[in-house]
Amino acid sequence: MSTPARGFVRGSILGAAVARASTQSLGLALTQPFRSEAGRERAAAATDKQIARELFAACGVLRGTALKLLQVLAMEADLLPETYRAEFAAASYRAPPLNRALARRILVAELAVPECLFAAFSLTPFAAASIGQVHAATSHDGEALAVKLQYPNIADGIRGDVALLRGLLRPTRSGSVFAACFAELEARLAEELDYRCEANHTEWFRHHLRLPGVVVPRVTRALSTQRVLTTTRLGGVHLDQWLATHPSQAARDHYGQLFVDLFHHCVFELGRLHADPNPGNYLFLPGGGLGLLDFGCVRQLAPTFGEGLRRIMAPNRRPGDVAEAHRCLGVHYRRDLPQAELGSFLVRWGAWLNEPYRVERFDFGAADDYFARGSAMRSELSHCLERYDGPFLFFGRAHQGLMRTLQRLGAKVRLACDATTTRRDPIATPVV
Amino acid sequence: MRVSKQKRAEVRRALVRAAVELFAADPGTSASMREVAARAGIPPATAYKYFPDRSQLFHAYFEFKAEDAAAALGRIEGFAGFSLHEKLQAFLEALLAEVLPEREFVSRALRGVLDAPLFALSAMQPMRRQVLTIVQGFVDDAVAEGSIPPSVYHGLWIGFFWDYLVLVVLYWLRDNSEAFTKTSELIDQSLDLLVTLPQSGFFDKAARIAGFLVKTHLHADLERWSELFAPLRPLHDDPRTPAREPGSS
Repeated sequence: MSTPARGFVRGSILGAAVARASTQSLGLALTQPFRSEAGRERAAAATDKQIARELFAACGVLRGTALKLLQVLAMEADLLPETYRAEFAAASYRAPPLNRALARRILVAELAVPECLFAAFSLTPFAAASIGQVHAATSHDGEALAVKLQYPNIADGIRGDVALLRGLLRPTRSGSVFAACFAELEARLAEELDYRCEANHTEWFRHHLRLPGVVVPRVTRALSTQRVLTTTRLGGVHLDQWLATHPSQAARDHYGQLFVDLFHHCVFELGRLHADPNPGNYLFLPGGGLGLLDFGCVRQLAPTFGEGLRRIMAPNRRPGDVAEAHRCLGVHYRRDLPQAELGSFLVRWGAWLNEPYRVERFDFGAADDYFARGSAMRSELSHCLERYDGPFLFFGRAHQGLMRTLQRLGAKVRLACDATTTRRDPIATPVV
Repeated sequence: MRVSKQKRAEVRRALVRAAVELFAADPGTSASMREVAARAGIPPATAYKYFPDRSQLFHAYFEFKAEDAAAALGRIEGFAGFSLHEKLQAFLEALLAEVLPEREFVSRALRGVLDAPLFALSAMQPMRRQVLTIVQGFVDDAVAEGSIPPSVYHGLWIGFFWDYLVLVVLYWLRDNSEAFTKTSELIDQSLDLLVTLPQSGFFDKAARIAGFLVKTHLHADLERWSELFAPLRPLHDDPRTPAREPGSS
């Protein structure tokens, strides 16, 4: 793996992208007065698209933290402009794995030679992501382990990357929307790069998550450091592999319900969100269980957050109340827009969000129309947005991930419980 | 009495170990061969027989470390299945891990070698040969398994590897990153590039271009030059021009 690590090199790559973005924005500002209204809109959209492309190209070269940031934005909530979402969605890139000699070197530097630590250790990873890769191992007691190794020097220049990305996005129309998120992104990223934090989060969830059917691996502290995380290895397959087995509708519904219950349990009861909804972080276990992996990105939610969500989605709300509820969640809208129109739009948006909650079981396999309407509303909403605060960024990311997973599962699930009441319904019986 | 090869190696190692220990105890001073011999518990005359001059202790130190690094590779599970890049990287990492406890000593020894006149560099030849033999083995394996094409120029590339190794060690000596991860990354990235040369048949292709240029242009130029000097040719070629007798006026 080659990752430009030196600050100067990273700076120059992103700096060049910032300069190009600024030039494009300046060009747009100078030529806009000579365009018709429709032309102005088209030109602004074209410039945004070009800047998003520049950003993606720069981050693709840098990988590491820059790429991770891009992936967070790619998974981001409904509220980003369509132009950015489309470009960022292409960032589902995975870094090539470390070669075996380097992987061994990292383990030796952090702990000891693998021959001493484990009964067996595979130098070839079985999973790779943007900041680390996972190796299969067997303990001396014969237990199957997963050993996550962080790429070397990945934490270098995290602050510089964030600052440069912020600079790159500043000249865009949605610069202020992004700007408010960066402090939060930087904090979460710093946590994610310290595997001791992830070990703490994993243990917390293992202890507190009381949802039948959901399994959290156990951390082996003696074999974990800041850059190495060793946990038990769960047998199971990822979403794609599971879907390739052509599971029954009942099995799809069962897993869909587990995903929904897990999300509600985290948001409304635990107040702590597993905020990395990458499909690779879920394992479909034999016997109908769901394995939950990778607690690198966990966001604690304020006690009022769940209540705020209920207020947004509650039917028959006055527009002013809904706008206020959005503000409480950290979503701020432009003040120069007619507030009455904005309020009624937010009521419609809340109604759309609430739609799956109003029916006994919502069929995500036949929800194309629902998501098409949502997509159109999101696009409109993104133009009204001024900024949003940190927690909502990760909530939106997790919610978006949940919706995508349910769609892919084509599951028919019951959502109408936790969003409007604090009572929890019993979990569906696992389907084998 | 003849001393066995193993015994000789043990004595050499004991003397080198003693030199390193003396240096570690007091990096500011240069211990004499007599002091080194005393610390190793070996008579000075015997010590001089093994190392006539103190600088050779340094060279022997590196030879031993290269040997130990090669031995450490044998303990890596699945090493035989590594790619050329991975084998070279594992070797360099093993070498650095071997010399890590004596980093200060290495720094001083290397400085001494680099500052010394050329004949001191020639004293490094045994270690150079040793390292290059190891690398040659890796390259032969890669050719045998078909991951790089055979080439008469592999020797040239292997020769460069020694200079590359010295540069890596110099970088490592100045690397202050935690656990020297920057050196590891440098090795990884530079080998990525270096291994591309034999993999892509770079030297053979370069030689073909050079051959083409020589044949088509240099030969043509030679002909042009010979035409330029054509008026002078009769002076040499005309049989009527009497050959000058040596010594004639």
